[in-house]
Amino acid sequence: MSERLLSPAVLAAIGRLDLVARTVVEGFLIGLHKSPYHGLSQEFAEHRPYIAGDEMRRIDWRVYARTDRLYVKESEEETNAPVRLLLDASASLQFTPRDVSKLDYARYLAAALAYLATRQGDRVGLVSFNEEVQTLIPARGGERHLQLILVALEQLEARGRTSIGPVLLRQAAQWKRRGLAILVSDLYDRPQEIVDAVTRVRRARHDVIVFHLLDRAEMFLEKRGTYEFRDLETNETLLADADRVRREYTERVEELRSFFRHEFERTGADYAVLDSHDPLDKALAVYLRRRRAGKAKGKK
Amino acid sequence: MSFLSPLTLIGLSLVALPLLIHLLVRRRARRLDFPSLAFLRETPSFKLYPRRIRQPLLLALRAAALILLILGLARPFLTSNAQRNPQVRFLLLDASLSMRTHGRAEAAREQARAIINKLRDGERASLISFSSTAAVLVEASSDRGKLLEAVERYEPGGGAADYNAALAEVRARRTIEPPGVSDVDIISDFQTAGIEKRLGPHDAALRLRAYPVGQSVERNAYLINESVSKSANGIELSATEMVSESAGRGAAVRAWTMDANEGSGPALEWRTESNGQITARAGVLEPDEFDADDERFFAFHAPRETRVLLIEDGKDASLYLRAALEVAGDEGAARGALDRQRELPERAEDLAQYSLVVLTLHGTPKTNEVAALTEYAREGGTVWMCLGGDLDTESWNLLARDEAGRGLPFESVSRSSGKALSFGSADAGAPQMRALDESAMNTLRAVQVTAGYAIAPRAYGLTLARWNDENPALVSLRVGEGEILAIGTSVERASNDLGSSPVFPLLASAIVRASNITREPISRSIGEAVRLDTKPETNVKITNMAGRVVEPKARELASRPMDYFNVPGIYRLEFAGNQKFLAFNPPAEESERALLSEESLNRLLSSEKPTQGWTASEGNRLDATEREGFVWRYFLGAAFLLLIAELFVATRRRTLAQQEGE
Repeated sequence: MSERLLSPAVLAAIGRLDLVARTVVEGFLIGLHKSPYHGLSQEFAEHRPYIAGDEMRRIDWRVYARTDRLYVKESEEETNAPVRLLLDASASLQFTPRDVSKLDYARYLAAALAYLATRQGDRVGLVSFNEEVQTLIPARGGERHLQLILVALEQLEARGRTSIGPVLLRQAAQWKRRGLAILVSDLYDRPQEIVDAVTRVRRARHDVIVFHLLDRAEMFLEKRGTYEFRDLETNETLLADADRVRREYTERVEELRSFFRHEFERTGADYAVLDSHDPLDKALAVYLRRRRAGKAKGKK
Repeated sequence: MSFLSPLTLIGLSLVALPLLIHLLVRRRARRLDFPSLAFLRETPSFKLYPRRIRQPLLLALRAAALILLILGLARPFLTSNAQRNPQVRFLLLDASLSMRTHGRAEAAREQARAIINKLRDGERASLISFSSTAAVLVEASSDRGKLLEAVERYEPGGGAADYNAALAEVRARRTIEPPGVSDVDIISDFQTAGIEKRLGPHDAALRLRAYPVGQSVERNAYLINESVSKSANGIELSATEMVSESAGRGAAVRAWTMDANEGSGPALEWRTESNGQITARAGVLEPDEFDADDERFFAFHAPRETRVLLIEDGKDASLYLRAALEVAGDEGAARGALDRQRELPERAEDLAQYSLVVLTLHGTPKTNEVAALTEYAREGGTVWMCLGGDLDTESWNLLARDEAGRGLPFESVSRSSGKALSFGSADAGAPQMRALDESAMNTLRAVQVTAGYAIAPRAYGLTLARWNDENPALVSLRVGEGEILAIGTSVERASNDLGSSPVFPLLASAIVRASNITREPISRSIGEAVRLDTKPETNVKITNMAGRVVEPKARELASRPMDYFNVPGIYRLEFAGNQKFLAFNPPAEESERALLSEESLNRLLSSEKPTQGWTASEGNRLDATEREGFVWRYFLGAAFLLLIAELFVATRRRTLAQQEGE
């Protein structure tokens, strides 16, 4: 599967979220051997090419349908490790520089992660929030639960201001089992508060991945000329000449990204900046890397 | 650079308009929904507000286009450094004959030099010399060397001092100058004679200053009223010699008899030129103090002896014509000088001895006869044609339209439509009709004409009498030095009872007398227009008495005679295979000795004619200046180019913005 097929613009054309998730994940898995994420193929070592003498019932016909090649499932171990998706649904995610809004991108990402996790036998939960929690689906396994999550994602709306730290802490307080928390947000909140919250979640021995969702239009202030900028969350306006402020603006953004990178690394959380133009395989690879690390810790 | 419509420059305030538009456009900046203003707010605040003009190139192009447009509409014109000095001083130097009185020309030069040397730095002056017409010696200049050099070129000629002509030239020059009052310095002897006529009221915009030069001469003798006639002894030239002195004026008639082809007498020299013209130079006998007018020049054809040739065709018209011409002879005009022949001589030379040839046209024309008559007329003869009742009008009309028939005095003739005609109005001022008083005219009008012709005269001919239906009845055409007349009937009994009318001998007598009038003046005044009866583009070679040759076109000669006949003398003109001598003399006023008193001069110079208003003169100035320069067109052209550039840049930016949006 080419990167092009995983690009958000192509996914937007597919429409149905379950198909999007499947397309992304299956495509990602098939291309895994050729991709820069080759090392992660171990995560799917339960699949190996069919050889004469293998039992026919162990052939994974879904993979065959997609690849015209016969693969055999080695094992289907269920870890039961909960994967908790924390999705920022504040108004800032309405930002739509081109075809796909940041919210859509977040939606695709969450769907793909849920699909992938479910496929691997993990339990998946979903929390969407702005200042308050909007949707809360506890972590469970199974195909039907996945459908529930996908429907919730479909109905997601971006509105209101965001309050990441408190929401994260309140949710973490309710988690009884250690698991993986995946925060998808543009992180337009008090940075130190976010870092403190993630630090406390980490201290509770939860794995944390932070997907910092930024479009390049906002990272690099790509628009030229003078605009009246309106804050999507606060509705405040500001007249500014983009050409004049671009250099300092991008420096500020880069400073923040460096801050998060440094702080999350210190606390042991994974941090990845996602451009809403980027294909989703980058995010899936981060997830797999973290999952493998988590499993390794669990075995110890 | 100056502007013809400086008020238009107020429009430059509109230049603020593009800036204003830019600011308004900036105020209406496009709205952009953005995830967070946090980072924008952290950038220095002065950068948030776009103080920098957006698209400065567009703004500059628009502003520059507007500036150029307004400057163009203000109608700029370029001026040299000197021209920035608003007013030009005009020096008018009298170059008339009287300025040739001893010392006056040099005094005028001295006065002009004094004025030029007192000019302020950068002040411009223009030198104009004038007599019957004005000539610019030097255009407006602040270069004293150039002005002084022009003063040296000033030389009086032979014309009359026409101050109005000089002031008209000043007014023409002022049309390309900024508005205001101009100083006009007139350097002249200010002769009394004719000055009221030649120095009329002037514009208030002209500040005249008089610089009289020279003193009245005590005594001057000159010739006027010359005439020439033919007598049994030869050709007689006479003139009146005037003597003007402080005690009063006296006059004496002088007469000279020229009895040979050339010769000299007391104060007279004459010679017969190759073309038959006599040129003569007569001098005054009385001593005087002004020599420039002591000689008077003449050039003329020798007057013909009054001698009539009647072509008798054997019809009854001949009888009446002979009777009338004999009666005219009895009156003295053509005594003993009526010859009769049956046929018209074929050669013009055989007609040369006659002053008048009378004939009746019949049937179809004979081109050789018409050619002989035309040639005879060209040399000064007069032809009187009567149109016989049996005239083939079609043939004659064809000939009239042909080159061979150019001498005929009509373009066409047409027989009147059956009903009887009578004579109607007449040109009482024409020499041929002058002898007919009202009583005679009434008698003439009583003549019943049964066979008459309506004559369509030539465009450049004259109608001397008309029928009662207003159609021309008697026409004449000047041919060379002579004339051809045609009457639209004959004297045949079958045509009318004109022959038996008592008024007919009177008419015949008047025509005989008019045939002997010298049509060309024997001398002309300098400045008088010259007509050569040739095409305007004909080259005319002019040789003056000193042998100097110029070769203008006939058109130039007619429009600017002073350029070629400036000093008194005899000039030989050669054109289109012809040769002609003309004599030019100064107008008599120039020989008057009296000069204007200071009081009279001041009164004359202070009279101003009603102003025509600023608008009219300003309009002329604008028009004239625009004719001089087209600078404003460059401004408008540049503005147009800038607007195109602006359009190009704006379109390109819009395209780029759209591409960026996509």
